[in-house]
Amino acid sequence: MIQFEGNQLVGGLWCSDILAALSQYIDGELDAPAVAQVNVHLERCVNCARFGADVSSMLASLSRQRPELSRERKARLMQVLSAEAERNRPVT
Amino acid sequence: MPAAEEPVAAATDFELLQRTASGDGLAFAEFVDRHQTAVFRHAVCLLGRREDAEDLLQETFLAALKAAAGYRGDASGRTWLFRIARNAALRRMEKPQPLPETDLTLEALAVRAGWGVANPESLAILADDRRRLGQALAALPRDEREILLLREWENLSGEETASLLGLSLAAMKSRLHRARIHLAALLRCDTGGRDE
Repeated sequence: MIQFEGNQLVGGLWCSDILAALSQYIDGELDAPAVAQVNVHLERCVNCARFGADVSSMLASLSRQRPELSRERKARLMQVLSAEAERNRPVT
Repeated sequence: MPAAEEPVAAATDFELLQRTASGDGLAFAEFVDRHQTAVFRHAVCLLGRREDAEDLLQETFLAALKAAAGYRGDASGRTWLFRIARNAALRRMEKPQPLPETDLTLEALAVRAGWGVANPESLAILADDRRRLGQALAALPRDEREILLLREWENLSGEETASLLGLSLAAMKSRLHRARIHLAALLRCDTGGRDE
């Protein structure tokens, strides 16, 4: 079983506590006292500080790579849907 | 004047769908234009492959055209479309495809992702490699990929994501957190789409 052997108690929190709270920290969902406590740990624990920054930057890279639809594909889609909308138009 | 003569760009999704139901093709075109990219991205989240996602995109809007009269505006137009896409995707997988299994704990995934490793290569640099990122996303279990991309690509709020997926907010957050660490582990391992 893979385990993290460098789990340290720093600033009242274990590295494993930081890992558990990382997404909430990144998403700004922790309250002020909890943020302050995490910050104390991050200032003194190189591993957690690096890992947290690394995950944040990975998420930023992921966000930048949102797939886009090509103009041609949009035009084709609109063609198919317009024809279908025309077929479905209620008779007045 | 009848509502159909109001400019479509200023209309709400509810108005556009009402007008669509009464045969206003311009209103439907505006609705498609407004949401097609988001639906496409959601289809990629669900199916993983761009080609399949393009088919699902068309299927979703054809279903929306037929169901326009039934839209009540309870959810946003985008969330309504996501539900249609999701149901269609799940129907395609009549026998649910085997999900990549992983029994690894969060800590074990984090170790694979570089937690506790001195000077690992930056995850952002790994993620900037589109091929590597694509393989890592494809290797994520579908439920993790879906939740991750709803947040990172569509910027859905926690509440919207939880509601769309039928999860409690706490369960949604827990799954999202695991998905992020899991993606980092897959990027670091670059096992060609598998984490053993």
